[in-house]
Amino acid sequence: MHINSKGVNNMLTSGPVVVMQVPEQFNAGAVQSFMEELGPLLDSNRPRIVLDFSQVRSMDSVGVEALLQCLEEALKRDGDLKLAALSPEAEVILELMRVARVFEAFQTSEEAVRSFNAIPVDAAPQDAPWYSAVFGDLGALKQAS
Amino acid sequence: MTVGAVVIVGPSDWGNASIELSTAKLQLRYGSLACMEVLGRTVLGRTIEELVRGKVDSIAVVADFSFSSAVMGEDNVGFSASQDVWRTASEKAVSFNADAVLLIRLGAYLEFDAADMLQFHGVQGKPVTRACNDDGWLDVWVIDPKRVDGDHNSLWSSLQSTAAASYVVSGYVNRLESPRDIRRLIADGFAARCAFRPQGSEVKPGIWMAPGAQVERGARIVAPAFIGRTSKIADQCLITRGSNIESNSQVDYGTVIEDSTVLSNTYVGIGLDLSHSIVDGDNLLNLQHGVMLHISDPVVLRQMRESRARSGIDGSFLANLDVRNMAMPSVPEKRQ
Repeated sequence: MHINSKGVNNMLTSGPVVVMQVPEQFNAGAVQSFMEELGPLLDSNRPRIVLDFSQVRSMDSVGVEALLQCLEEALKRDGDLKLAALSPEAEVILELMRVARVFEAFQTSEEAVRSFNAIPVDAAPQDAPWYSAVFGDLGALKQAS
Repeated sequence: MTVGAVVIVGPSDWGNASIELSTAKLQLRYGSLACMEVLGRTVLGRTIEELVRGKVDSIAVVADFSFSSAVMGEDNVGFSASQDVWRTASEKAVSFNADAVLLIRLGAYLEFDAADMLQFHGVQGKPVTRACNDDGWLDVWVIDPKRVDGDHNSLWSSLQSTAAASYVVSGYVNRLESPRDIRRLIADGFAARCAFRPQGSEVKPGIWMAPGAQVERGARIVAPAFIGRTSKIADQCLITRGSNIESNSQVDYGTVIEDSTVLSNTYVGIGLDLSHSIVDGDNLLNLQHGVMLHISDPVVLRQMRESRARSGIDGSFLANLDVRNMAMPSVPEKRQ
């Protein structure tokens, strides 16, 4: 675990966030090569992936199925896959196929990347020791150690 | 007093040079938004029906595209396809030998009292009277063919002339300039804000079904809604919020259609969520996002084989007329 300079344990840090551009035609023809590129990233521990949809102009059911598979693989390894910069065309297709709500989506890739590093507001008080998110008080930490 | 009527459908590049892509694509497919079947009928069919009901002596329909499949008509309704609709229209107008000729370009759907407009025209004494409303001119004229030169260029000038008398239409007007106008016409038809009402039987309050429509027991139809001729709604579907499914279409298992139009001969796949859209075969126009998509995946959307019902004239019009095939000499093909 990485301890930042403020002494607060960032439970969510685990390797870089990878941003990948989804091709303009995300259909049966393009999916295979895209998955070959994405595959090694999904195999890593706690993969954190952002897919940038800004260039997408068409997507078919094969593309949507591939997205769902990638999400499933990422979640299996305790990671996540998020969408960014959805083009209007991509939004329409995802809504049509009822999968829009399955993914977390952001306006920009930067926002999506930042969302991986953000600690929820109620996770730990700002002035709490770094171990409090996991062990609560000092007594519990001593017991654990 | 003898009255003739010429109904012009098109030309598709009329007026607005920067026509919306979605409108252009729909017009290419149907020739005109006025030939698109909505609520079981077309604006063209409805217009002709009103003219026949109004006992207009002679009616001619002129289009800049060929009418697919059989072209039909009664003795007093003739259909012509022409690349120069205005020339053909002026020739027809003159050939009627009528005291007055109604010239209607579809275009807009409007409800007006033709008899009142003809009377107004007679009183004004000008060779041309043009309809208008608060939003501007409408493409409906009454002309005195004896006082207007039969040459189509002169006719065209006369129609555009500011010297024409202006007749204010107080009835319902929908200019049908975009697909959103189509959705508005449908909503107004459901709500009885205009006379363009759904065809078929009102099986429940606000739910109309045309003959041959099939809805499986587990499907839910929420008013207002229209299910077109020979269309099929599969189990677990939901059709809601002012949606219309036109003739010979199919909505497959578990799909939700909300505030949308499914045009004729369209298959909508399993488990989809279609909202705020117009779908036509494998084309999807989402009005909320303002995008038009071609869906190449037949599992999602596809064009079904056209039934004989789709000919540019709605079925109800067919049912009420004495139908016969009319050979069309050298009919120009629909522009691609």
